[in-house]
Amino acid sequence: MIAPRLLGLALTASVWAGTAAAEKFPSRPIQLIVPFTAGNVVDINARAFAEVFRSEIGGTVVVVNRDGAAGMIAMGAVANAAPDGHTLFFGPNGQLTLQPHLRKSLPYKVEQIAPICLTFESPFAIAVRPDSPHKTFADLVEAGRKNPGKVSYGLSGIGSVPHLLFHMVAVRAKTEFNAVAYKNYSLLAPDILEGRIDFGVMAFGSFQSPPMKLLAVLREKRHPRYKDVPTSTELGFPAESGAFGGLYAPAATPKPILAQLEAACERTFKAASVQKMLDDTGAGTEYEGSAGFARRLAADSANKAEAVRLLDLKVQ
Amino acid sequence: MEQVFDGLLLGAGVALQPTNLLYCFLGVLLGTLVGVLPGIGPVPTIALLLPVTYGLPPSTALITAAGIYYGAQYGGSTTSILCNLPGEASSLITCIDGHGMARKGEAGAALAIAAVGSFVAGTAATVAIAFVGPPLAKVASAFSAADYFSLILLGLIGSVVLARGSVVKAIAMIVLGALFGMVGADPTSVQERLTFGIPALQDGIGFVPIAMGLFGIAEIMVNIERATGRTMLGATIGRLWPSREHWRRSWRAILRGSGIGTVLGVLPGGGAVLASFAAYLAEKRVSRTPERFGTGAVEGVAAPESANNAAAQSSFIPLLTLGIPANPVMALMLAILLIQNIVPGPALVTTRPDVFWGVIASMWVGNLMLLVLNLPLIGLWVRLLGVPYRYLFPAILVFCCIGAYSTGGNVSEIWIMLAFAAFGYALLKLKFEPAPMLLGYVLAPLMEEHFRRALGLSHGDFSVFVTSPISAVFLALCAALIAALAWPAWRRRRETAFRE
Amino acid sequence: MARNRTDLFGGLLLLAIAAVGFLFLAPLPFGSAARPDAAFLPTIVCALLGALGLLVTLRGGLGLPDAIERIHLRPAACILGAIAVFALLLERAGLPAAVAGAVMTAAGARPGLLDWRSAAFAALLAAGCTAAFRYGLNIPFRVLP
Repeated sequence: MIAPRLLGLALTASVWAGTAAAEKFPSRPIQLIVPFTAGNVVDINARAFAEVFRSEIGGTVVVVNRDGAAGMIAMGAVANAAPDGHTLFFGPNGQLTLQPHLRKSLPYKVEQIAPICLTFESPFAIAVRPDSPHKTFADLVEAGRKNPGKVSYGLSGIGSVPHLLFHMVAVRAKTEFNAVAYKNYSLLAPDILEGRIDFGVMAFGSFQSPPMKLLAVLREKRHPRYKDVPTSTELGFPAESGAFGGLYAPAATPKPILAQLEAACERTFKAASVQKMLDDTGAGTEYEGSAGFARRLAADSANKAEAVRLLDLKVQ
Repeated sequence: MEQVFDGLLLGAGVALQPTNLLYCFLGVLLGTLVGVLPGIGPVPTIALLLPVTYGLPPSTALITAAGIYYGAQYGGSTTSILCNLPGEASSLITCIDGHGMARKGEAGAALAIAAVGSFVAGTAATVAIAFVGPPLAKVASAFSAADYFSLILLGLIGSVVLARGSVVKAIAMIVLGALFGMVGADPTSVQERLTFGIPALQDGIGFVPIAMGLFGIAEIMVNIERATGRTMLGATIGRLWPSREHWRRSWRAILRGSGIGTVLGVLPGGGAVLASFAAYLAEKRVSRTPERFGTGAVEGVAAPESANNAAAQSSFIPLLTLGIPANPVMALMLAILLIQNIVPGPALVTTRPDVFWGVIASMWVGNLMLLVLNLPLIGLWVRLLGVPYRYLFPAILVFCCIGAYSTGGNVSEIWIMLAFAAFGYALLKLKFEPAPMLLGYVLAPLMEEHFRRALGLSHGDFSVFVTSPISAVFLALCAALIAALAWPAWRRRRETAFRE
Repeated sequence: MARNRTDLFGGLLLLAIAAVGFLFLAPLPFGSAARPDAAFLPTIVCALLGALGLLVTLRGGLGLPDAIERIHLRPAACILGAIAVFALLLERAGLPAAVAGAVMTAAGARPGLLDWRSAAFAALLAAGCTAAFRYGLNIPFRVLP
């Protein structure tokens, strides 16, 4: 077995890290606040992450689910927590890059949050039923151009990240599709398979079961799990950035603690069990430290602002 | 046929392995415990154990999680009956007559009927999954948004049947509940409705705070005014076991509830709620003494409790045969399987027969364990009602507060619960019944979601609601139900008019 | 003058809720029958509620006499107060203090319950809840102030 040996290594590493750090951190349990219910892909990855992170940081780590309000409750709780590194956010980008463009008031300010490390990605793909008449993404675009607004697709919600992402693709393809919202994928899957809807823009982790045919992945480079599926960029309709995320802390957290968290995060990310979970759920990505993560977030925010303007979305 | 028996034999071999038996037992025990605590359901418990499942074989992991799931169903009925506290939407209906029986001193009988009914339903659903799983799965995928809409509309209209007092007031309560159900983010877009800027309301009013406030806590507030003795219900504890009369009244209800639950349980999104509810309404309609319902009729416990357990079981069907998770617990099961590199779906029965049949066989084993575990516990639960009220009611209050908080880790949920407790107290004083309101609250948002999706899919064409055969049948039933409800009142009015 | 007070006040309560609903739904997009938007169904529900409220109010004026059952302020205030005390103390002073505070407040609901036995029970329940929920189920409650 590799796991116990890894655990042993990790323990030694954490003891070493503990003696190196000048002040005592962590001094009480660390909360990883996840903006989804238990069982969500991000939640599952957070739990796998926490299993390793606790030995890397040398303390207790608890995953706390605070779902609701598009993750803004969770982000608000972290932004307003004591900035001592014991309350962290583990989740995607939307709360920082999309919600500020949609809403006048948020329970937090974007500047109150410091990104620590980017550890996962939630790519979206265009999925059809296996015997769909649309064999390629070009077929769909063609069908959309012939009958603008008549070809329907299912997605998680109007104004959600996949909606904005796919809308930009449709704008570039100069077509229009009929967006139909599904609060959860368990109702979208039967509709696609029974042919009641033409296609779905679905998150990874939701279309392996039941099996569907992927026409394109909304991504720049091909996804290692779906090497034979073309990307939207290859097909000429770049979809800049989807959902990605990782660990965040309150911005006022002392610099040494942020550095300690980032180092522990990088080691955790490389652990075999964390990598396996990312891979199994299709959430694998390349690691980014705090600087790279912040750059990605800034670029994504500009992109989302443009998409929101094009779609003319605004919360009353 | 032969394949099924071979399969069940294989499954029994898996389920009866000592480790699997042990994990199944631990699962149902843990499930019963968390099910009794209001607000802490199977989802957080299974999630907490998720890392533990990495190291287990897939069938063992699934058997444990499944045990927690139906253990929580059994535990949930206990609090509904004893304290009028529904832990989740599917045990809402049980409160009405279950707690009514407890008030009459028949708590033991109600618990026993619930346990036996759940066991019979679990057995029936297990047999159904084994023999007709794939055809039942077709039911799940055949339902379109328009069909769901009409089914839920039928449920909402049927809620009027729950009324004991004024029908107009009951309808007003359903409509009010519908309005409360629509608070929060619009189901299809980012718009917020009636949230008054409170972040905790953005995702709607949570089931736990509204149900505990309106049912459990408002009940305590009224009880404490009326209580004269030292114990909670004032009544004597009465007999522990159901009488012959109880059994005579409830066996048909158990069978009907099992059937309704098994079929409706396969529907993703609200199958168990609709099942418990449909079973209760059906029972009240076929009963020769419908006026007993709402005051502690044993059929009113037997039918919904059987239905929700059968539904919990048959919600495995879409997952095991299509790969579609029907509820959050099934989504966790899917995660457990995917972590083990098993993709559920039509091929599962041939690729991993040990997992497929092992889980099915373990359902029956788990239900048997729950029956054996729960029958002796009844004496203990009932004795709890004998605990002096001065200790019991503060403890219930504290558990409700903890339950409300732990659903979202948010103190605002406790304040929302407080608001609904006050509102529920006012409703009781004004002689409004809270049960139809909660059903409106549960069903209306589902109805709206399907209504708007149906129109989105049809590009705004209303004819989908009648051109889909399933939807047309439900709409016809709606019309028939309205006619049946209106007819006696109309006739009465005419008769009195004639007399005058 | 009104005879059925439960219906009269109940109907007025429904009317008031419907009015608040209308007021806050007004700025939201309504859509059309074919393309219902965020305010569409809630507005219809509010209209129905208003109509039913009116009907119940009118029945209150015409129906059989019915008085509202007496409202006992002390138990109601103590029970709601116990929940409020719990909510206020939970994140400021921790779970044990919140449990104990709620139990002691609730004990005021009936005369003669505020004694050493309630205090002992408060301490016992505080310890038990902390053990079960904080450490058993791992719900991250604050323990100490």
